[in-house]
Amino acid sequence: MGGGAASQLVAQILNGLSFGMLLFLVSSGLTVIFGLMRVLSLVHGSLYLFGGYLAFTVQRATGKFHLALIVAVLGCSLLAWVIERLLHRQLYVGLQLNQVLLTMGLAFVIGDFVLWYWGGNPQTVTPPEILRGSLSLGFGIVYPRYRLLIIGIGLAIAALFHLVWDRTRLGAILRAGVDDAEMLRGLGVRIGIVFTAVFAGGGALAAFAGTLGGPFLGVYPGLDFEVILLSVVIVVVGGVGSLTGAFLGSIVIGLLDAFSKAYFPVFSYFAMFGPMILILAFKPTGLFGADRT
Amino acid sequence: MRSFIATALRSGIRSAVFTLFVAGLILVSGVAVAQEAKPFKIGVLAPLTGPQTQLGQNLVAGVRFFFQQRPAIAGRSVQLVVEDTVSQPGQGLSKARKLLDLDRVDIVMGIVNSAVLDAVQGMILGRRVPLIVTNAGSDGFTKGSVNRYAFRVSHTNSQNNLALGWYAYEKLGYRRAAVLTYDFIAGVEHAGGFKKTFTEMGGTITQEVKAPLGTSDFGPYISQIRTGEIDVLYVFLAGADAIRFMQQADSFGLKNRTKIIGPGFVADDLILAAQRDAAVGVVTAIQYVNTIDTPENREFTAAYRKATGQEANLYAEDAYTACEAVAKALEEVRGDTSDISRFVNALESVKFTSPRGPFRFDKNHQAVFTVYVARVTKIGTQYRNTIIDQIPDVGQDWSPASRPQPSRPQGR
Repeated sequence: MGGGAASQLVAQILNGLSFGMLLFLVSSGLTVIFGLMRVLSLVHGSLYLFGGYLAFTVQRATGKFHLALIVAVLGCSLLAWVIERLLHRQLYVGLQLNQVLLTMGLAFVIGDFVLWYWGGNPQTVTPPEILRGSLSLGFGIVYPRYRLLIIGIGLAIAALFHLVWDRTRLGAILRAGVDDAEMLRGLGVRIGIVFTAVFAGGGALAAFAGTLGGPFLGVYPGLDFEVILLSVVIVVVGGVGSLTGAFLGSIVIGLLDAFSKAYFPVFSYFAMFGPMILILAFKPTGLFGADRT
Repeated sequence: MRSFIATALRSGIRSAVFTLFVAGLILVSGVAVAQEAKPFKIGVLAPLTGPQTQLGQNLVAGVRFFFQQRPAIAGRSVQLVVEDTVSQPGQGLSKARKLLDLDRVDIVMGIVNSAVLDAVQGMILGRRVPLIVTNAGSDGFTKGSVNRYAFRVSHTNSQNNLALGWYAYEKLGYRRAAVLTYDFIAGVEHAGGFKKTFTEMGGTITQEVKAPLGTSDFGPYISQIRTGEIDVLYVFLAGADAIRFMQQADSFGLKNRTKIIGPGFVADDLILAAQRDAAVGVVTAIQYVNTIDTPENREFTAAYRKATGQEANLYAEDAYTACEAVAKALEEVRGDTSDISRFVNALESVKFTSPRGPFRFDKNHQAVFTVYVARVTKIGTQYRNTIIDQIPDVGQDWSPASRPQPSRPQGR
């Protein structure tokens, strides 16, 4: 930005990290749901969008960012909870494809609801006053505060997940569930509650990301599918059910996005999907996915 | 005898009068029936779902608003058939076929997406049905050997930009510009217009950055712009992309390091409310902003607000002006469209003052209009495009040499 090639490089790394961390918030929920329930929940992007719109509405009414964030997170976790209890529960016996179709149908329903209720106008969530503007990082690098915060939040949540995943009983149950849900049930864990909690938690995370992403990407019809597409790529690259995979996958995809746009704009789409194809061809379980066939 | 003759005569006269009366009734009712049976049918093609929904909705609102005010023209009632193109060429084509074959419309208007325009124009024009475009901007539609039935009330992609390139050099004093635009044809044509006149005047383009439609994160593009070596950044993006770009550019503090200009879509009246402070200070050039201070526009914006509950904008005004042109032509032929060629002749020579100002078609049926240069300002809690200058009589091949005389600002 104004400066030389080196500061341009740093700015692009930060761009990649901030976009990647936002995607991590969505893909982490997606990968755990996929790993545990064996369902690629296509409704996840819709929860992101719905959360963003909820936040937009609350902020417009009250002017408060934190209130918007809380309502969006609670609202979407409730919605996800309802979806799991009322709809998914009916389909656990039978083909997994039925469930994917269910989530896809729900994604369309929510997408149309959003278009009907909020209209086609793109909207944005305004960040809190203190986070507006940019920060000078020295060496001629000027970078938006809000994006730095997103990087910070993403890293903090990744660290928290790491602790929960490796050190707690909940983490142990989740890990065991990803490996073999039937066995876990056999051991006396009420897997139904775990499924519901994970689905609702994933919804909360998606809404959290939708709100945080509001000032950054905005909210508009169609964003749901953009988000889910990138998240699926991340899950495939990182490996199904692996939080480490989702974390590194998000960073890889974020950086690829930033660098391909900056240096090889013609290949920016290819740069996203190329790695996915390579991974599918040579290591179908993803970088950190467990080998199970 | 005398009385018999008299009676016969009298009854003969009476029956003759009766016959005449009945004949008259039949004639009058027959004409009335003919008028009732043949409303003027207008097919409207617009995206009502999909990424360009917002634009399509405003287009249709403009059309409906016009005919709400004038339900009949030259004795003919007007019937609208609105079809959704979903911004997809395939959908547009099947909807155009429906309008022509099933509804048998007299004319087709609307179309936002250039790809849809390219797909449907051959079929519509091939049937000798007038097509009046109100938004899609692909330059080619009104360039070269143009179909007699093809009209465009809105801009060509390069039109506003030709004026802007000159204005940026001559009036705003910029000499070095970077360009950020879409990587597909609309982006090339928009930026092309700006680059043409800006460089012809003596300006330099230092850098050109291209982004795809629907880019979520503009950070990487913004970081690339070498603000140290430019006076101004020219941007062409529209809709959701323009909103995201402005906000992201604002958070990068881009406006502290350079100026931003572009065609009106970068900060049009429809998206300003979402861009808010991020767009303040941006200078754009466009054929319509809702702050034009003329009696025609004051009346239009007030009535439109009253009828729709929304502020007027470019997309509604383009549609409204298209309807006005059609109404004028229809009046000229006294509502008789049995010879469509006469209607087309009338349409190509319409001249009137629309909300945007003086309006006419050039010989290729492309609208010639005043280009308004506007700056985004915040007035109280409202964000507006405040007119700072205007360039009259801008056609699709406008050049600085064709400029009539210096202009005076007009606006509120």
